Amino acid sequence: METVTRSAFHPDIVGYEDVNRDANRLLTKPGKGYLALLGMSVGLVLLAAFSLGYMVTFGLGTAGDNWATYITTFVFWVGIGHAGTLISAILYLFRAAWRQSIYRFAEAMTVFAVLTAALFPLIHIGRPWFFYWLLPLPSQRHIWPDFRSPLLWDVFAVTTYLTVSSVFFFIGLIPDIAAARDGATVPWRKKTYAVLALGWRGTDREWRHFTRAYLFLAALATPLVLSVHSVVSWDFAVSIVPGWHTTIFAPYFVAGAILSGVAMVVTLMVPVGKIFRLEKYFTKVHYDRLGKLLLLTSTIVGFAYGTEYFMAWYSGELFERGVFWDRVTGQYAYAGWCMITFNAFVPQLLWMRKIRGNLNAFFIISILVNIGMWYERFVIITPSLAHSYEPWKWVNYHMTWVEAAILLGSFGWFFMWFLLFLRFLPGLSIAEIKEVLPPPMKNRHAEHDHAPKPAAAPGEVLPTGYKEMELR
Amino acid sequence: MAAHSSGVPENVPFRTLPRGGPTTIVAAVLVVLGVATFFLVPRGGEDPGRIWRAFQFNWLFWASTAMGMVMLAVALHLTNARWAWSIRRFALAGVAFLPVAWLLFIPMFWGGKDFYFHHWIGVHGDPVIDAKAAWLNVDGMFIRDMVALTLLFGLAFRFAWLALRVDVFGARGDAGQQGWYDRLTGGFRGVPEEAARSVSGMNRTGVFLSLGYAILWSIIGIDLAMTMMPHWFSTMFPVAFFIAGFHAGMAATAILVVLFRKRIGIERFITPTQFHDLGKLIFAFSVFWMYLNWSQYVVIWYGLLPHEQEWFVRRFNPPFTTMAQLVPLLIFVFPFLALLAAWVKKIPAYLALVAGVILVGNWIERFMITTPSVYEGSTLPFGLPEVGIALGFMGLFLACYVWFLRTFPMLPSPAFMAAQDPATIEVPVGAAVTH
Repeated sequence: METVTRSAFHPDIVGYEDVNRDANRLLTKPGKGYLALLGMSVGLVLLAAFSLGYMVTFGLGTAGDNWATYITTFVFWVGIGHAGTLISAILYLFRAAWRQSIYRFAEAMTVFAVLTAALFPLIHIGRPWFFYWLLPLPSQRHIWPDFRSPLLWDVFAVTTYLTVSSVFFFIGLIPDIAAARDGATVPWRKKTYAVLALGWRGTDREWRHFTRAYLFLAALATPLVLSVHSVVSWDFAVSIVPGWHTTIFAPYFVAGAILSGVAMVVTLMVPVGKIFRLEKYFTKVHYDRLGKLLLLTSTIVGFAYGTEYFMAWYSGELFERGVFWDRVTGQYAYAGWCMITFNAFVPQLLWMRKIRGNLNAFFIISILVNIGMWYERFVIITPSLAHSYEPWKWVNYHMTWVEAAILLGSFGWFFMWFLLFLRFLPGLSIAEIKEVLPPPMKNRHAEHDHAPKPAAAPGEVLPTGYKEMELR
Repeated sequence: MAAHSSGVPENVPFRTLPRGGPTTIVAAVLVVLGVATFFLVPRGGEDPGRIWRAFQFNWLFWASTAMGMVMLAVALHLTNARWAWSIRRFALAGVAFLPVAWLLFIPMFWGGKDFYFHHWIGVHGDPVIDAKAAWLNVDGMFIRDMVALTLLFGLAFRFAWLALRVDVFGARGDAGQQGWYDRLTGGFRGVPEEAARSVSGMNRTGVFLSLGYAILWSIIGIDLAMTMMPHWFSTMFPVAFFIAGFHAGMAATAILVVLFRKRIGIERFITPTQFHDLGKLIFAFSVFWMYLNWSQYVVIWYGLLPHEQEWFVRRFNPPFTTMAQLVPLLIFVFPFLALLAAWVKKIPAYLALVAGVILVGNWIERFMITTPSVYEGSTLPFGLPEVGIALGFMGLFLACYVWFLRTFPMLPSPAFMAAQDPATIEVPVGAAVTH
């Protein structure tokens, strides 16, 4: 039977022209589903804006104790961003070619997740207009911020991350924006893309500079994947609250961040693939690999949970043992079990190839992981504080409607940016998807002359294909 | 020559290390030196446990390195790393040392337990130690560790068996080799079937081996190093322990590739690109090693809790100050600067040199996580006995390693590589591909 060579990742894509057409189609035809989602997102943002106004007017007392929801949600969103950088930078350095069709929107997700996270420090300081006191500038009080405070390390970590991931995102976009410019028919779009494409023409020289820059930025972004959430983890770990003060926190937070991020990638990928009909680009290979990535990070997180419980017991200390026992039996046990079940156990279903291949099952698992990861941060923050050294500190935390509205609004804010991105910037990496497609040839078969030959070719000495055997 | 996009190189020969050469004699001399050190160093005096602790940390180092090499082979297989096709068997060959490590564990444990664990053996009335008596008891610890080692090494042997089975099929070896070839290919059902079975079997075994390494090597680290200071605990310690082993395995692989590639006659398959990639991996794990250790340190330093600080107080103060400074210098600072440029990573001898520095750093690290926990003297207990025992281990390791190189082909067979995931596939013309 006559065959043609196709990419193992995209067996349905015939040639380069398909990629340009499909990527540009994303920018031109919003469906009703898209508009409905966007409307919902904007509605949630408005709800959050109202609640924030209410909180600023009537004071932080309208939120619950310890700002538990705000800090939980801050850590949650910072974490979500990590998978984008992992997929765009680390998998790039590892030459994992399957990333090509999904990295663009994973990276966009990173930028918007960090933007969402950055809202929460502003919200929880109560007087957001004084946020610049966090910056390392002598303030009008003639003092510097306290460099020994991990909260200040956060400011550096998060702003660096936002800067580098935005630059990396933008640099990677340039050739594709140029393609969008060339394909645009609406005048204002054409003009905007022309400006954003920075005059890209696709010359050899441009590509040479582009690939160098991309490699360097990937190398610079890689340590950031580790550093950001490590610093966030130290917000907690360097204090001596039992349940916070544990040395594994940095890599454990990073693994958790990647777990939640990969789950969010899947949560976004399944509906986006359906709504925009991108089945050719998000193939079963991608879901399979993402499933394995989710499984790996879930197992690492489970290992960290296990280590924490083991060490709490092994420490032989009253407070360590107490706080960890309280997590699964105390008043917040529902949250503790949510976290353990959804993050460490449910994803273990992905060991089964059938489940990795079943989009509905995988989608549900990804949502459960999202919930579980939010609860993980809640469990770390709230029950640890609510069960600290002295019994007089033991308080109950209840989420108020203000916090709930702002939490919901953060999702609206994130999805709003994400949906706008899909409509206005190329959501598929046109240039990089073409890298994994077999190059177009005049003679379709010329290119796989070096494909594995049948084992019985003449001149071999061994049935396993070794060409020569030296007896020694 | 080099790997094509299809991932299957052409003209791959079946090569093993030729017999003869100085390696056997070198290994024998080293073993004699090690044994002599063990028996000649006086047991009495101020520090009667010194030779046993030298045995202990050297066991930790060499077993971790050999296991780390196997884990590198596993990682390269699981990630379908085509770039490493011609060097991954150098990593796998570390498996040959594991039986020796298994055997040596028994005398190491029973011979020296009173010099490693005297902070808790027979100690009663301490509330913390009493609270964890279930973990801190000698018999339980021995059984636990033996089970862990047996499981882990058993999985490693299965992985190696699957990796080698296809490749030695149909090969003709001398008397020593042929016996292994026949044993490995018992019940052979045909090359493509066995190659597919090996690849998927290695995927499965590799996954369990990775889980096993993380969990069981953590337990080994906790038992043999952390419990020496029974009040101290750190959730990061086991992680840093097994990652350091993985890093050491990488460094050892680099050195052994450079040492043996020409004598095996496969140097044309090991290109500068591969040294570059291996160099990048070693570099990355140097950074990762420092990241883990720093993350552990900063939390303890900032927390200022006495029972946690004790670990670093014992190590940062005399007589161990210099050694404590050497570890990050040799594992992180020097390799970071030395491997930063792209071109230097492509020089085999240079890469091996840096890898050697990392190994020495790791060796000192294994000393530093054990001895300072129990040592009370004022002079640094580090010198000829420690080096002598290390040489003995090195001789044993070399002997096992060279046996592997002499017995098995050092390049994987084309049939095996063809069974791995391809980058492109063939689809019928005009047919719609369904998901």
